[in-house]
Amino acid sequence: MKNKSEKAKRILSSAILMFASLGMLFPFFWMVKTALMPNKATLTYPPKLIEWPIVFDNFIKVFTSTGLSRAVLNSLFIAVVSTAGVLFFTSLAAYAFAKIRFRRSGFYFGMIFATMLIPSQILLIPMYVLFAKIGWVDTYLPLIVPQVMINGYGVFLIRQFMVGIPDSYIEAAKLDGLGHFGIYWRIMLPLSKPPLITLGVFTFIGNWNNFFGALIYLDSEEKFTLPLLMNIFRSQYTVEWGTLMAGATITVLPLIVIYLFAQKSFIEGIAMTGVKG
Amino acid sequence: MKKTLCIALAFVLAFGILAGCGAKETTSASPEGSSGEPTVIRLALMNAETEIAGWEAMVSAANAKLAADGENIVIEIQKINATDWPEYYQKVAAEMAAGRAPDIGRVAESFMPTLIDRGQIVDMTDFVNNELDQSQYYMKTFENAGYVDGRYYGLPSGLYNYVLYYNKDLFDAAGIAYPSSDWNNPTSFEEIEEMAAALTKQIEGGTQFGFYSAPYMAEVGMYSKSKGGFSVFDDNGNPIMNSAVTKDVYNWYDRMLTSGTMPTPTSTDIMDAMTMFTNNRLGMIVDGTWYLGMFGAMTDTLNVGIAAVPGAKGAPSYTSQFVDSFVMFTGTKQEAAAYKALAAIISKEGFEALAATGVGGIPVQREVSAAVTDTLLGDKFSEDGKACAKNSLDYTLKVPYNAFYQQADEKVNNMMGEWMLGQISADEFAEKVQDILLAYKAEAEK
Repeated sequence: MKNKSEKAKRILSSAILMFASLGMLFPFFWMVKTALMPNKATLTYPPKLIEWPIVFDNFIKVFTSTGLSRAVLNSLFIAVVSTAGVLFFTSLAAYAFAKIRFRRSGFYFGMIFATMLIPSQILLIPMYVLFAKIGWVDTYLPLIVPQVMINGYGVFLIRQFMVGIPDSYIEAAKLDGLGHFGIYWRIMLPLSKPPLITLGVFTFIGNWNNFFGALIYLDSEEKFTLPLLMNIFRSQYTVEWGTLMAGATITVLPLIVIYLFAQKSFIEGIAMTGVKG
Repeated sequence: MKKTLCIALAFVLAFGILAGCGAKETTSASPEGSSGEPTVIRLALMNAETEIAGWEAMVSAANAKLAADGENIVIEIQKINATDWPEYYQKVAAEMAAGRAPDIGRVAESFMPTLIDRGQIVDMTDFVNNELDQSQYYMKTFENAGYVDGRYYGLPSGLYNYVLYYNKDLFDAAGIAYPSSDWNNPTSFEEIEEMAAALTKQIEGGTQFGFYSAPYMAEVGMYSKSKGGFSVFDDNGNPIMNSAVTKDVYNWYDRMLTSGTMPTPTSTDIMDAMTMFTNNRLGMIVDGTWYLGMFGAMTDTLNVGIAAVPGAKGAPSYTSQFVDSFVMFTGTKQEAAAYKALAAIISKEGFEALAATGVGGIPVQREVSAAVTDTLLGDKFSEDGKACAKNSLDYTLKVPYNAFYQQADEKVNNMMGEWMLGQISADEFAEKVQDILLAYKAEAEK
């Protein structure tokens, strides 16, 4: 009897989860479906679940009429370098704040944390002026360096995790002759994999999708990133939905692949750090 | 330790690459007139795949004209891939703050008051009055939001205005006459209501509606003007949205909303009005001439006619115009060359090249306008419809953009649902609109 009710419960929860999953997947399905339709047919009524014939014109247009491959490389470059930089520097800072006692560490941590409270719009003009003065406008540096150097969210996330790692590991490592960097590199980093992967995925996604920063700081077409490039399919009065969705499909593909590879650690990281995206 | 070294080196390498991607010096920062090298004038343009070819053609023609005239000036386009004008403005404003703004640019009419107020664009009155051959242009179109206190701050890049599009097949099926294409004797508001009722019926998958016109201030304003009132503000600049005439207009909308002959926000949330129209589910829609090209390409599935927007019986009807402008940004060090570049851009050759691509609306250069309207409309519309679209230029009405119009308009649009879904009456809504405008006006006058 108990078995039966448990089985029923499991079936019910599976059905609910499956239904919710379909709900989550539906926008992706619609995006791909719209991308495979002629632009003219994207707004026909009543809409059909599957539109025949399937056409690849939108993908061809995206690949041929724009500098797509260059934009993909540009986005990839920014996202990879930013993610690597953010992970390295934030984890270094997090280690210091979590495990090294030094004067006013709380104050410095508070200062870094406080940077999260400043709305980015307020900083837009002063930062642009500063970057223009040092010749960084129309380079990728303004899109990478600030977040790598000061990342309150990342430092906070990893510090909270590192605080929970027993000090005895560090004491043992010191007895084995490791210095701070050795402890950080050989002990703390491997143990902090879950929050690092979580932060890595968030940082990569954020940079991959960063439209506004690229819009403001990049002028030369050959430096345009993918979100910036995709925006040309909207005009003041009309939107080419088919082409835009083809571009969006291409844009989200790498993110889906990354998520599939990192999903176990990503979910673990979210569960252990209490972060929700 | 080796690994650490590798990582450190990787970072050095990465930043080395980044440093290698150094910024190009912007040409506007250097003074004009250096010998030999051409003076480069940077033109900021919103980049949209459907339009950019047109602007590029216009700039190519302008460059060819400059070369033919013996000018050592080259116009280069700075493409700004913004989603909308506020994003475009943010980018240009940041560039201005850093002293590296483009020399010239194309700006939406709605942003002109802000740019003028903040002194971010150059007063071009002397150029317009002394250098420009005014006989070549529809000078009325210069009197848009970039024309303040008799001073010109922009040169029109083309004109759009509202017309009434109607679905001929739905009219034929309902057995009713088409709306009037005569701007001096338009279909009256009452007749539109009757036509809308005759066209409305239940069809497969929902309702076929009769009429749609978004009750934005620019549309309500032009209807009020056609009824003998004012468009949003009176002659002294005071808001007039709760006047008897404007309330009449709102109540006209209200009757069609409550009778179900015009789609409510509940319906347009599922499918916007233009999609309804292009899917033969809406009989009439008042919208901009920016859709002419799209309708022309849909003649296999849609049989569109063009008529004058609704007006008062026996009186002319007015249509709100939207004129984006070429401007010169304050701080350019190449003013003389920038004027020459602008003159070349808005030359006959420039407008011809632009118009050949079907981009930019109706050209404001007289010769090109006449030739191009025929090309743009081709044989896709009836002679009557084509004449109506052309004649609409004589009935245009300036949208009264000012320093707060845009913000007030957004606020009004955000609360429009309250009225359109029947939570408040049309009169109450008109009062609310008036209050919003008065509040913004008071704030602006502080």
